[in-house]
Amino acid sequence: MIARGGLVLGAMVLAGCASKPVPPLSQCASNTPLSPLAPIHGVPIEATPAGQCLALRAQAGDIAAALHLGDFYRTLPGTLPLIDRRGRQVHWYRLAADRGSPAGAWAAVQLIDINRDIQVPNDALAYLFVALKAGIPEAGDYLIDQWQDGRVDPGKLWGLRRWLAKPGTLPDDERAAINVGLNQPTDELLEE
Amino acid sequence: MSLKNWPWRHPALTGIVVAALAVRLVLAGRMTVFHADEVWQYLEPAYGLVTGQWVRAWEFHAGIRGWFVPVMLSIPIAIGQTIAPHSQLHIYLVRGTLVLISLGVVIAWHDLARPAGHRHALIAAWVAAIWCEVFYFGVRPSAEALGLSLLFPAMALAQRLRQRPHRGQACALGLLVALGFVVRFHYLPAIGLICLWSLGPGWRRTIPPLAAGLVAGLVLGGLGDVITGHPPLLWVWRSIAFNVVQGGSDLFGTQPPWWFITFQIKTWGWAAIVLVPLALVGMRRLPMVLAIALAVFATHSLIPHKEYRFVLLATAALILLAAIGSVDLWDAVTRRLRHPAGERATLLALALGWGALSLAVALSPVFREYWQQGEVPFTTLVLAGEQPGLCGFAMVDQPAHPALALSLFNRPVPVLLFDGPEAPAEVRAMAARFNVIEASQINAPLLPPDYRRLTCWGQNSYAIEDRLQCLYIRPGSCSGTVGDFAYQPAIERRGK
Repeated sequence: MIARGGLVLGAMVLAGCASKPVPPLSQCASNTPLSPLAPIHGVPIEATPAGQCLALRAQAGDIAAALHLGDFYRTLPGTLPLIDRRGRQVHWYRLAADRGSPAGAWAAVQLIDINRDIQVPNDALAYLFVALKAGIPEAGDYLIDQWQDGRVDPGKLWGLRRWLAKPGTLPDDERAAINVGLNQPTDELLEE
Repeated sequence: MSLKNWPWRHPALTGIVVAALAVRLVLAGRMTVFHADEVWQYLEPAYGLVTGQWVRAWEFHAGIRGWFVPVMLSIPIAIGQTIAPHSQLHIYLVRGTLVLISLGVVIAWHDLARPAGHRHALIAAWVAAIWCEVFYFGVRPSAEALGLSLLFPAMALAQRLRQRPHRGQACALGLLVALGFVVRFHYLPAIGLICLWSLGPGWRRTIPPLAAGLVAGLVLGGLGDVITGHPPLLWVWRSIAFNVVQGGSDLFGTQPPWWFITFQIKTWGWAAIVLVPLALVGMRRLPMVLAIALAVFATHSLIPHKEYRFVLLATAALILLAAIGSVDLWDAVTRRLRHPAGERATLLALALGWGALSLAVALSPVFREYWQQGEVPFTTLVLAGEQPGLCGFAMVDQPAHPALALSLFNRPVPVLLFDGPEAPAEVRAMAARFNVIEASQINAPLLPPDYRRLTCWGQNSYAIEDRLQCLYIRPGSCSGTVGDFAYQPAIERRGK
């Protein structure tokens, strides 16, 4: 009885250790054209054959496909009142960012950090660091602005300052400009 | 310790326990929340176990949270839902349960200080009863608060076992530390020290029952996972892998290694000038408690993501040492002045002094905000759920996700989420699907015209642009589907 219980527990542990199988890459290209008609009529692009194919590619690890889906929702002209447009953009850009895309991280920052009356949200700040470390110049400027506006807790910059202190992490002029900006006086720290 | 006639044999301690109960019950009556985790990591899954409906935060999709605490909390929730399903009774029963469990800290501090003397024990118990950081967290469904309620009694048992091995107490110690591990595995180094503490000259008699208790506690902890269909305790490894190996916790903010020390001193304010020396005086009485506090501070300081509540066990341990130290210091001073005070005068003076210190910290700039934290958003949710004729609820541009807690909203109606620049157009397009909206007052002109403002509960003193959680209602029923705006998928898209 005890042995059987042990076997059941062991099997459950092993089952828990097994990660979900990674879906194979779909047969469409990462830049498959997407039609705006479906979202205009309230159907998410992921529910169309081309969008579904791209979504599967993105979930399987194709960063370009994830960025393509995020860009699709971001650049569609007009409003889409029947679609959770912001949520879908955040989803695809975060997915790209979580897999190491600086472009995805930078796009995610701009979507997440929308309330200027509070500190930069922690996840937006983490994505901002990814974008900055990858050399996206706007990310450095953005961080300096938020820092000077009192939107970043000084402690949260401790790790980044150490990184910036190392030569070679960014071109010297960029690094110097960011360091100068982060050494400027700031407004009073806003609420988190 | 026999429970027979216990109150009559220990009248002073009984009075302190009653005071501790009263303070905690007053706090439990308020809808405050220190951290979102209390709601979405514990209350929501517990409520989901009972009702089948809950907001699943991303941690449960990632499988990095255990189910032992939600399973335990589901018991008072089930009772509350059975007796008065449309009320908040289930929430008050959860808090009441936590209050009762937290009284163990008062008894444990009395027990831990007892070898130093009767007055030390009573002052330690009194401080556990009234110290703001201890009782504030006592009513909270959080890992750190439960860690206190489990691990201080464990320390008291460890101290006893070191002097006199006892099979039942060793087993109880094993059970407590194992459950302490299950609720907050980050305290593992402290748990190891507690176990070591229990091993005195008779360690051979202690280890077998201690091990049995440990196994029983781990099985009990794992059972919470198994009965909810998850592999037992696998979430511990997943949590370490996500937070430490992959650095996932960096998404929640990082701080330098010394932050816990600086923030603790900032929290205590000028009282730190008194508390730190007192803790240094008290540490010679309980060096293991100091070692446990240092182990908690040291290990947590290595992880870039830091929050004040994470080291609550260490904070409370330092307060215990300071409480003991205060009696020693009082004795030393009165001896030097050749004016030894009577026991009653000593106890009264120290009790008043500690009450004043606790009040000073409670009203300090850092701690003052905690007394009302969460009250506006969560009371607003309760009020939204109580609206007569409610058939659908829309949350518009709320400042954080998730904002919906079904455990507080407590109504089985569709909930929709709207945010971003297109939110007003989306709300108008979906207007038939709901008849209650939560939105900021400044957004009111963008809502459909048939809505009227019901309340901005608790925000009358705020500037209009800061009234973020107001309720708007319209007459009539609901029709249609939630479309792309159902709350749960919407927060999942946002990575929450």
